Amino acid sequence: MNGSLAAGFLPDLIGLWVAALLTLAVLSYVIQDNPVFRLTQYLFVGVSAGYAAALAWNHVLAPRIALLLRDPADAWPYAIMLALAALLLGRGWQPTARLAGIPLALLLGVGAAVAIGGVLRGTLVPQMAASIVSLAPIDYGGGLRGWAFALDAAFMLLTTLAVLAAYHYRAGRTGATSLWTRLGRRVGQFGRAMILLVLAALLAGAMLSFFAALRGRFDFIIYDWLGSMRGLGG
Amino acid sequence: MSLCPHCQGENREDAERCIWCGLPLRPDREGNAAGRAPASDTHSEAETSDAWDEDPLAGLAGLLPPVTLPPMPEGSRNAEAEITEQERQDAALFHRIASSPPPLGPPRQPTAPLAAPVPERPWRLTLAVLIVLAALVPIVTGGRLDAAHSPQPGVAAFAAALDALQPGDRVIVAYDYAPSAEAELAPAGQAAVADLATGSVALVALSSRPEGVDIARQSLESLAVDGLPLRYGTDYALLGYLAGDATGLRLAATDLAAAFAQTDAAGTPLERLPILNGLNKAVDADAILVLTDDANVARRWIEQVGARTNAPVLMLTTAAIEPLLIPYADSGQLAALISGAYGNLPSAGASTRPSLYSADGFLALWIVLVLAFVLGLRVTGRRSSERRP
Repeated sequence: MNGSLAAGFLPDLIGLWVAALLTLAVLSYVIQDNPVFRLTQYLFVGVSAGYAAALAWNHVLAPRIALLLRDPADAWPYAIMLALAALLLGRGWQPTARLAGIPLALLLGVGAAVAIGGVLRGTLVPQMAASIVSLAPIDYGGGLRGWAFALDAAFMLLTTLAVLAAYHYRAGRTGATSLWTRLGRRVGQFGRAMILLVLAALLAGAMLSFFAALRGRFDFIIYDWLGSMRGLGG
Repeated sequence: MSLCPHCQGENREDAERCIWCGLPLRPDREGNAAGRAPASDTHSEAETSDAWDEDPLAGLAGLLPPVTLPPMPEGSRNAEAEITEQERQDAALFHRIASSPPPLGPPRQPTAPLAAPVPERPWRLTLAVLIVLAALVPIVTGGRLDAAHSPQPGVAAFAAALDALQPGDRVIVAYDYAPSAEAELAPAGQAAVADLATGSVALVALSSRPEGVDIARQSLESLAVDGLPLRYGTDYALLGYLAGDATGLRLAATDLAAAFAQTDAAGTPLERLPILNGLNKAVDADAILVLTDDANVARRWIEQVGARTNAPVLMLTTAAIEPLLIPYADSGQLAALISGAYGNLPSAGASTRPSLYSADGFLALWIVLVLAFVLGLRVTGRRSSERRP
């Protein structure tokens, strides 16, 4: 084994073993909550936070500061950004705490404006447009297929209305109720059932995702970790 | 100050009755001695009580200093203070309610919040062991069901969208998932990226999540390991971390250089990357491929970038968030949507790398879950019948 191979091989081997042992530590939670699992959990949280902070410096702050120092005439808007960031730091000191409200207000205001604009343009309007569909079988080619599509469209329309009705609240009233009120209640109940159905689908999907993650970890332990040991043994 | 001859209590000089015991302080007109109850008082307690009930304030005139009453309101001067029968009944009812003792029923038990019944430890362990065994089933079965598995409808649309791209086209690839979702998203994502690179489609990678940058780097480097002759800056580039969530994406949609401070992940100025010549905005890309495990990130891409471009937006997600994004695929906002959990099962057998990724494992999981559901219902039903009196 030459030096360069050892230089690349040893860190990989150490990384492989650390990853395998941490995986086993996390899986040990199946048996019981234990200190090794806790330690691993805290390690992940700490490493994630540290990694995110380092990345924010390397990819967000440092390039912009470098740009500002290199070409202040063109990159002067970054000076405003840094000044606002400095004001945010003032939140920790009572006399300057009020100044932190300026960047916070800017963040919230711009963030809300961008988000609302995006929701309107990318979700609300297109989804409403997509829910306006024809209920005539002839528009889907007629025949059995046309009827199937028309029924599907009718079910979608009914479900949309039912879910909207599920979020319709009114003060409780005793005594005799009108037909419309009773009908609204029934449709709302149907809407709630549909929401539960969607939640069940989401849970089923989450189960599949967790299973895929478990399968991935077993892949790693069996084929990568144990496989490497078999390779080492010759 | 005068002393009561009966109880020796101190009273005002002009008081006629003792304020302590209520007996007269001076002989009255009927000749009853001071400090003695009137003749009727000595007869019986019941009679005394009746006498007091008749006029309890009798004889107390002058006990308190005179008070000037405020003038009555104009409207009430001529009002007759008549008590109706209804008011008497209401008063009697109020009296009964106020004076009746509280009901002495059994104390009410506090209502416990609704909680899902947690199975006992042996059940939980058994379920965990069964799920582990389900994941390991492909070792024994060897993935025999993979060939019988029919692909998702989205897979064909995904493949068609990738095939429609021409050599020289540029695709933005967003690696927006955490390492925990790598087992689900990496195989299909890597296959798609390799397919694009093989077809000489240029890849511009970025991530709006901190963890995604390193995942993107590994993914692009593995293409070179696979033997594809790719050159950085011409065939692919890694722009790095895109901060700011929706705002950052909005900025990238209109000005890539401003969104990444004019440098890529390695600090190279963007103007030196030939791959970005003419690609100043994310919306100018020929296609956008988003790999994500977060429904909010997926929505942000659709809302901030997808809504402003005619380029197809392809999305590879985890099964956990797939149901939330199906409406976007149905409305045509997503050109293709597939779930990484089982979306690329047809290509699983083609991989040379040994893996447990197989339809056999999903079938085993399905059997375990059905078994757990049936057993859970049975156990819950038995417990309910035991609790029933």
